[in-house]
Amino acid sequence: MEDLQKLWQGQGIPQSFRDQNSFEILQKGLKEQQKKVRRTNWIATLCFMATLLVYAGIYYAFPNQSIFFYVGMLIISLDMIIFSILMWLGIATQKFDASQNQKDFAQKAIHKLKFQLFLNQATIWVYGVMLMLGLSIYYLDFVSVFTYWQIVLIYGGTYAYFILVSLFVKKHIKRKGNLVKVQLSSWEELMSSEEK
Amino acid sequence: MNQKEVQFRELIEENQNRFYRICRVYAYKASDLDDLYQEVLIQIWQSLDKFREEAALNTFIYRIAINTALNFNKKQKKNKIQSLETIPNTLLKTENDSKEEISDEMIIELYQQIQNLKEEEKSLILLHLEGLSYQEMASVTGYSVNLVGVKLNRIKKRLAKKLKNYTK
Repeated sequence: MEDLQKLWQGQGIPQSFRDQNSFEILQKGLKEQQKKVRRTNWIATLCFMATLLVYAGIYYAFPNQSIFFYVGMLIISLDMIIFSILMWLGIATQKFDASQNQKDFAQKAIHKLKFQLFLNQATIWVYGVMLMLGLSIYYLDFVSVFTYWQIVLIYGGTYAYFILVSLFVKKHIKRKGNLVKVQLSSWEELMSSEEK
Repeated sequence: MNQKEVQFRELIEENQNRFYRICRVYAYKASDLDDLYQEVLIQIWQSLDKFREEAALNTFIYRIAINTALNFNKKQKKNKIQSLETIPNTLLKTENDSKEEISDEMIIELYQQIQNLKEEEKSLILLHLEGLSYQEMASVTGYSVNLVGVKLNRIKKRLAKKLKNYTK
């Protein structure tokens, strides 16, 4: 094994690898990383601000509406804010501190992935249900003037639309969730092998 | 050039061979090698302030490089399944390869055998080949010194069996 160690440590590295400018590679990588973070921050901030502005605008433009109108709009607005926070959290969980030992690093990675899985699976449904609830309450503001079948059509149409969107989103969530699960089981395997 | 940049350049220059070897062990495709190296450089840069507080350069470098590589590979899990053998051996060729063909063949075989190991075995044997002490290996992996010894002996035996054609 000592010979192997000597051979290993004595191996050269390809000229192409030696010739590259590591600092330029670093700067390029940092630039890409910052661009991604900046883009997400901008989108999240815009969503957040737009929601607040739209809600404030609606409140002043329609001063004498029923409680259903304002509650419905408030729930939809909160939903948009949740969406902005989730987007920001998605990026925040990708950061990591590589200077810890492997065991601690793996443990933190497992926590992060479990959180990502939770974000991916649970919160998107909460988001959908809240949006549906917000719209349903908002409809109560004006449906009283419609006939029974018109009300059924409005609510039925909305729920059918949500069911269709949910079916589409479910596939995407499952695919993404499976990728996270593969990573998770791989980290868990690394942790569990310690006892063997 | 500020102080951090000077320190970074020096650290990379002095340890470029080590970084290459680690990235080569954990990269499964030629393009992964470059991407992983870039990721390691970013992590080194972002952790430089922590290094000033730490005494051991050895454990600092290996912690960052191996953790980054592990994280990188978990994300690229599907690539691993598709392309375990796709890194061309030309990437391993060194300046003196014509003189030492047998050694090069053995190095290639060694890389392949290490890549087939489990993740924690891979990092232990890599650290051993790099010449770290049991204490340093324990500091990098977070295992106890005893556990490092037990695991490493098992891996060495298995590896010796697989490489017996070269070690005769």
